[in-house]
Amino acid sequence: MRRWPEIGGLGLPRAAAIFGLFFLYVWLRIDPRLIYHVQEPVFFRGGLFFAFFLGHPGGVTEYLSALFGQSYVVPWLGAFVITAVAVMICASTYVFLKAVEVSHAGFVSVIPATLLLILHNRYRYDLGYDLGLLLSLAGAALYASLPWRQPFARGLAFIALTVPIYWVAAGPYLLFCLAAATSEHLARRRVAAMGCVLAGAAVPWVATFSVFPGMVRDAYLHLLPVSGNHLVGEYAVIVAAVALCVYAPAAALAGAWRQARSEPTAVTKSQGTILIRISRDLTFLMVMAAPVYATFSGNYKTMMEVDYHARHKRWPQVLNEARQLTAYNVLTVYNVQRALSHLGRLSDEMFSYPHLANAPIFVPSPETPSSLLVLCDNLMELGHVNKAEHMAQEALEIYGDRPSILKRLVAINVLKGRPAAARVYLGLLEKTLLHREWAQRRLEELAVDPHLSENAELAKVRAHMVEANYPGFFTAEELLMQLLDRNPRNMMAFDFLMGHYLQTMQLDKIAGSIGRLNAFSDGLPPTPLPRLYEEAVMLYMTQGRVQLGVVPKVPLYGRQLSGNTLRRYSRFSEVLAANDGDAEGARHKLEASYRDTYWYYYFFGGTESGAPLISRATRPVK
Amino acid sequence: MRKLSLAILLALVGVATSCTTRAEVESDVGVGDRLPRIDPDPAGAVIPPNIAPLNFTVREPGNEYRVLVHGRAETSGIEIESDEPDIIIPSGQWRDLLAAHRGEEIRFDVHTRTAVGEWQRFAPIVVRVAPDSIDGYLVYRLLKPLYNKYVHIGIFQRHLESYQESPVLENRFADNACFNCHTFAQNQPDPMVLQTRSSHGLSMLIASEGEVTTVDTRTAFNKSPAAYTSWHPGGRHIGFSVNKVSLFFHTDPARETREVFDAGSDLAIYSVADNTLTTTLAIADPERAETWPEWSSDGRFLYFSSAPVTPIERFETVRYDLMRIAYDVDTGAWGKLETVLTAAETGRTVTQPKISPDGRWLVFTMADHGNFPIFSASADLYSMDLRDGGYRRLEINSAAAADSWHAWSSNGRWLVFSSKRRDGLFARPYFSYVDEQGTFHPPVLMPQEDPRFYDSFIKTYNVPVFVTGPVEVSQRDLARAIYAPSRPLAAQLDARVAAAIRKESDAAEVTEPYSSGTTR
Repeated sequence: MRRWPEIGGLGLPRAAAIFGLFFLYVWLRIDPRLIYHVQEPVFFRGGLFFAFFLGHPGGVTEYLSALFGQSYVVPWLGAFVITAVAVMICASTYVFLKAVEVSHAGFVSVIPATLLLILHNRYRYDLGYDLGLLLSLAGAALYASLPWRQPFARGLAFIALTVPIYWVAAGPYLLFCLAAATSEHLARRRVAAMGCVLAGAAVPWVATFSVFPGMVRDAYLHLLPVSGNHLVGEYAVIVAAVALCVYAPAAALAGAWRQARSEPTAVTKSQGTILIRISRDLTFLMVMAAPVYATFSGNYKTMMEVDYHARHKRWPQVLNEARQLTAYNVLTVYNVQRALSHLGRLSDEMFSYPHLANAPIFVPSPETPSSLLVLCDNLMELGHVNKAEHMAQEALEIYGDRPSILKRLVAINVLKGRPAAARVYLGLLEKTLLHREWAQRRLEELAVDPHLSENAELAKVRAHMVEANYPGFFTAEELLMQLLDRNPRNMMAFDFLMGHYLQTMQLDKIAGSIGRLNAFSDGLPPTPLPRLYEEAVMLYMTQGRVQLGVVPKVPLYGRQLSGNTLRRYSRFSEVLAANDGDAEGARHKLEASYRDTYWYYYFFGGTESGAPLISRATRPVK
Repeated sequence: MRKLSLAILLALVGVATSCTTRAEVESDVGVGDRLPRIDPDPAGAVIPPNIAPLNFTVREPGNEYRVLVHGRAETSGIEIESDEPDIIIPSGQWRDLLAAHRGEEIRFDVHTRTAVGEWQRFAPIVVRVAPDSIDGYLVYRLLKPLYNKYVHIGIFQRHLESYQESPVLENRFADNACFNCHTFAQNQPDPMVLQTRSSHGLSMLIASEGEVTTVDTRTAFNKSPAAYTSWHPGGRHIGFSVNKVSLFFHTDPARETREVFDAGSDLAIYSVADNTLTTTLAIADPERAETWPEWSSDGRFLYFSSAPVTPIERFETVRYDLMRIAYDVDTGAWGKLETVLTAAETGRTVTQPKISPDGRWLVFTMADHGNFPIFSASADLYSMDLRDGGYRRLEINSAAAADSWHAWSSNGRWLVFSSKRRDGLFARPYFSYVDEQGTFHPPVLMPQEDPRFYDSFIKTYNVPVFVTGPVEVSQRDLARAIYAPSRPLAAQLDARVAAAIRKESDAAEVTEPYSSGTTR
């Protein structure tokens, strides 16, 4: 019967099973499509782009990361790339551990796969860290496996490896030195070990005087998994990153220490029955999988899916995903409210979905970077093209030349009557791997018609586009009023304006804006009042009666409040009155039947409790 | 062996039939009377005799392209044949050609081969080679069209005789600091001054002889650090402005989205040798905003722009006058404030005065309003003859795009300026030859090795400045001065100004305010 290679006690089938599961996890659970959505690694064809990376240590790794990162758009391919790199990291760890004679090196060397998955669970974790780690471990494995014992030869080999590893990977060079020092230490070549440690301390420092143009801190840490934005606020990730960095030398030292303490025994194979072996393997797998499972945030993934679908204008999917959220951030709210407006449901279901408590419907500022693109889309669809340009340019500066941003700038410049500038952005898009054809098509269209008059999306924006000049800074309400002054039939602007009044509890303005609905009736009998407007008007009239003693007149222009709304409000009021002074009790009783009403939002601050999350997609801006 | 011989024979036949001889082209052409569409198009320009090759792309349909670049004799020149429309001119031959034709015309004969195999010849593109060289290097800041946030900024230097570009300082290596307004004394690469803003401080860096000095220019007079600077020709004093600028936005899509408003600014002079800052009421008037300092080439006058301090609501009425004041850097004596050109006379705002090295020509920008011309499509370059004060709009301006950020070469024969004429959004550097009569000749776009470079380059060229040699101070030293500054040199206020400010703050009634207060 054929025997599988043992691979340090692990065996090829086990290794295949572990990395098969790794691949499936990345493909189906993490979903590289969402990694691409969050990171959108920027890659352009051509020597100019490559030259940008050649000027500093670590640049080559960054370049390769950007290149391989393009694979994320095809989820299985992205998963394959991440898995392949993980396999090579574990294989390098294995070769290193074998070289320093650690027993059960196969089992020991697959542990980094767990750590890698914990890091990849954060969608912002860059593949470049894995590539840098791989290079340093491969270098360490090669160095530890060298057959030469003469210090001179080993020293030369170390120097020969130092140059490419530091140049290609930068910070991970420290790991190479640490692992090389460990192997020398275990071989009782203490001076050589000291030399490796000193090189790790000295080379990056010396580099800051020669080849590394940046800060001393970066000369040591650049591309090490213990640096970078993926660590922000995530203790488990910090622990995993540190563990990943020191794993190979630590495992080597631990293995040597264990061997030194125990009597030498013959290696036993396949102990116990099949059942015992299977249960042992399963236990091993579960121990590996548990921290991965524990550190994955399904809710964060759902938020990213909401953003992903919104970016692709898949409005029903946005709402489907949003229903599964247990917490959300401003970005989610913007996306959901945009989806509701596109589906014509904002005026009925605004409070059935994530919303903010007593806050503007959007804040047209660059201070929340994760929201810049959705703000750009909102403002452009609404008709504020200059404001959209502002948001897009801020996003471009903060996030880099992402195709998604460049495409928006193409549209914005065409709308602003600058087709030549649009062509420059298209010229850059033409250099991408994934958007080249789109760019070429658009360039051809622009050559024929510089205004892209036939483009339906642009035509729609043109119909609403603010043309008057309002210099200065404006609130969301002012911007929406400017849009309605330009075109009273701008349904999205009206929707958002009323949504803004609802969310900020400005009942008088809601009541005063009902007449704007007439602009949409096309001379036909007035359409019924949307539910939330009815509920707000009802509340306004009741409050007026209580405060002023008379019911304020609200012109409804031929519309009437529905009997159903009157009855429901009556029941709502009864429960409120019955629980006077016990807001929590009233809330509890009303929650089941009224949680999606405006009244419930008005009295109890909406259906959500607790402060909205701060997006983990938010990059710190310097 | 026979097969090999056959293959070689076939290959030779193939080469022979695919090669296009000049005779074939000549015999097969239909001579056109129109110029070919090429990009960048240098037609009519006067070019420096030491500029890198003007590579270009032929925007005419064709399967093959042939370009002959020649001077007096059509028989001797550079012949380029290509299957692609990108025409790359060999550097060595180009250099020789320009050297042999200083002060003369050279021509680009463009031929294209159409789909049916016919050669088409266009009217020749004629450019003139100037007799005077351009400085070897251009230093500029590259950035995207920025709004509130900045992440990637870099100052670069370009060798104009080749295409070599190298960073002077990129902020990705300097803790993402912001820096601006690199300034040189009389086009020499050393010393250089630039302003920086980062979490480590607001400093002025003076790079001189390999050393970088960090200066905190804030004093009791000015709470804001230096902004726009101008080196005195003596190289020991820096005139600078302190500004209170803010960005605001327009909604009309036909306009530039951004606009810079200066709520109040003053001028001061920093003595590098004494680490002392001085000013006078005439250039720090609280009722006026003084900015854009520029020393006259003899160093006797400080020219600047000045406008009444105006609330932001009336931003469209802000128009700057051009002023000057005499100052003796040796004695510290101020002269009288003089008006050179008023906004009332021009009806426009006058900014960015730049004086030619011979002291005769003053080139400035005029726009509809405001102080930041590069954001205004109405911004155009004007030239004033300082002998008689006459001024005129330059012919080198574009019709409807900003032309601004100009600077003189060391020999006063070249003017570089940034223009958005190609697309209305991205500023690109153009070089215009200025002859002894003060005629500004049609400009040429700074050439790039890749003729399509500008078609996909989404950064803008900001503050282009000529220097005679490369900036030698290392990026590392500049970056370190930003992110790990040794204790910055705190600029000291001139005793007379300090006393006046003390008097001002002590007095119940302010009698002689030394700043508008906005910059304190």
